[in-house]
Amino acid sequence: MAFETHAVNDVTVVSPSNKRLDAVLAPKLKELVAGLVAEGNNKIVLDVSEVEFMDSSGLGAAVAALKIVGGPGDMAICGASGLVADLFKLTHMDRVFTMAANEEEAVVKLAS
Amino acid sequence: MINSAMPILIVEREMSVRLFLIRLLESNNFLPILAESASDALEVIRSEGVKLVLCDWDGENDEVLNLCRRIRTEMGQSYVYVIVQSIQSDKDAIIQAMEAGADDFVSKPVNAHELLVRIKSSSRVIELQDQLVSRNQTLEFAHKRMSDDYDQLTTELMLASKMQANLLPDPKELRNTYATWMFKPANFLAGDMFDYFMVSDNLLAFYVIDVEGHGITSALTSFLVDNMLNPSRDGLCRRMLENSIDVSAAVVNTVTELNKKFSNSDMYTRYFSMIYGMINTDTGRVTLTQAGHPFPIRYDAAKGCTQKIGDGGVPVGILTDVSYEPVEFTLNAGDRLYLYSDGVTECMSPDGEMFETPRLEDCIGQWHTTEVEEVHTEFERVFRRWNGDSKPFEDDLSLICFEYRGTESQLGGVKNYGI
Repeated sequence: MAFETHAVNDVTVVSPSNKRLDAVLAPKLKELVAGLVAEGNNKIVLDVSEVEFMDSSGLGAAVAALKIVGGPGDMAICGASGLVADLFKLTHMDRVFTMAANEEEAVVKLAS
Repeated sequence: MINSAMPILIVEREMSVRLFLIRLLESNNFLPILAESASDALEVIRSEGVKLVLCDWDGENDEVLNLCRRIRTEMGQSYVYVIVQSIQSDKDAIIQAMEAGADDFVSKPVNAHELLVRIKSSSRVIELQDQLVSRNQTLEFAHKRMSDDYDQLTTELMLASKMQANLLPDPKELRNTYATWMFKPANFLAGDMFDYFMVSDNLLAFYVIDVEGHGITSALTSFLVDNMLNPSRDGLCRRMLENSIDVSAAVVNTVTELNKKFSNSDMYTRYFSMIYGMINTDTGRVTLTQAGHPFPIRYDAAKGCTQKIGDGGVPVGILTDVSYEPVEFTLNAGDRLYLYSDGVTECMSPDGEMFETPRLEDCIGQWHTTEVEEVHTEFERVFRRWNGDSKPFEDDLSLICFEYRGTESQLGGVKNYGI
């Protein structure tokens, strides 16, 4: 499995099990989120705390997921650090996504 | 029936057995063929396309064993099944015949029913063998076609790669500014692209883009962008300059226009990071927009230090309705401005270590004394070595350097820069 998912209340937390979120995982992430939304799970947290490197394809997939889910009120990114946090800042995606330090904070932000 | 006319070669010395076999085979819808001797048999096998041989062996005559051996060595892909019939039925005889290449062994006198069962089982083996041969031929054919197609594709890609390289500008002096670069595509085709040109008497326009991914779709997207911006084609840069109130509005409007176009999902293009800007060659004033591309680095010649420029921005084509901000600063004579794709800072050493921005800043600081015309060779040397000399690059690397040389009056003040 490329991703681990678990539910917290009505929020689904998706965590890549790989340290790289790149062109290999990007289509799988899009597919996974599309599937979750189709099943009625439309509040998603992408937990990138284990991800050390994310490339443009990974970022593209996260934005595609955001569009599938609906908007920043329904999707949060948590645990971004190092190069991943730098990428979100550089591309201003930290202003597009709901950003949270950890899973608990992300779930609270999506609930409010 | 598949075997209705299956030819079976009979090599049999005894007339009575020969007649018995002919009758038995004919009445079971096989086509018996006779060979005078074991030595004639091979020729008949070839000329009649025989797949099954019934061969009489007295247990001593080497001719039959030689026939078995020659069938195995000389018939190539076409499998010939050999049933040896012999009055000798001891273990040694069976082993001897099998070793020579026989597939089956029947003791004489021959029992009609047993022989027919063995012929049927042989036809299953022959059929399988035929299928295998035909599948192999199909595979070989498919493989040849694929490898021909692959060769053609490789040739095409190499040509396209040359075309792409031809689109890149020459290193050159554009009024008081010298522009040079390093470019290393990861595949034949790159998603990185850049250009610089004068859009008016004193405005040098430049752009660098890095399309998501690398390969054909990325390259096509970069061709599209180049086509829109290039003054000799669509000329978006010049049009926006004419229709905007000032340079900073022109720069922002150009990127906004590109975003409008490329965020339209009907385009099927990929998104890209970009820096688009202009240098006023009279004043050194730079106006640029940073759309998700790494932070430009300025080398300040007077202070002898590097400085990261900008505050980031949304890549082009990833979201609709994005507003872009201009970034403005002034280059003094002797200052250099570096733009680079993330393939540069994320270039991985064989040990798995990324090059990263601080190391790039160190290089820029260290090489400020190198003539700008030569600076690209320093970068090429360092990145080739960092990447592990013979390895292909994992991502496109593009790095552009502008040196602002100033007007004559400005040069007076900093005559000794870079020395």
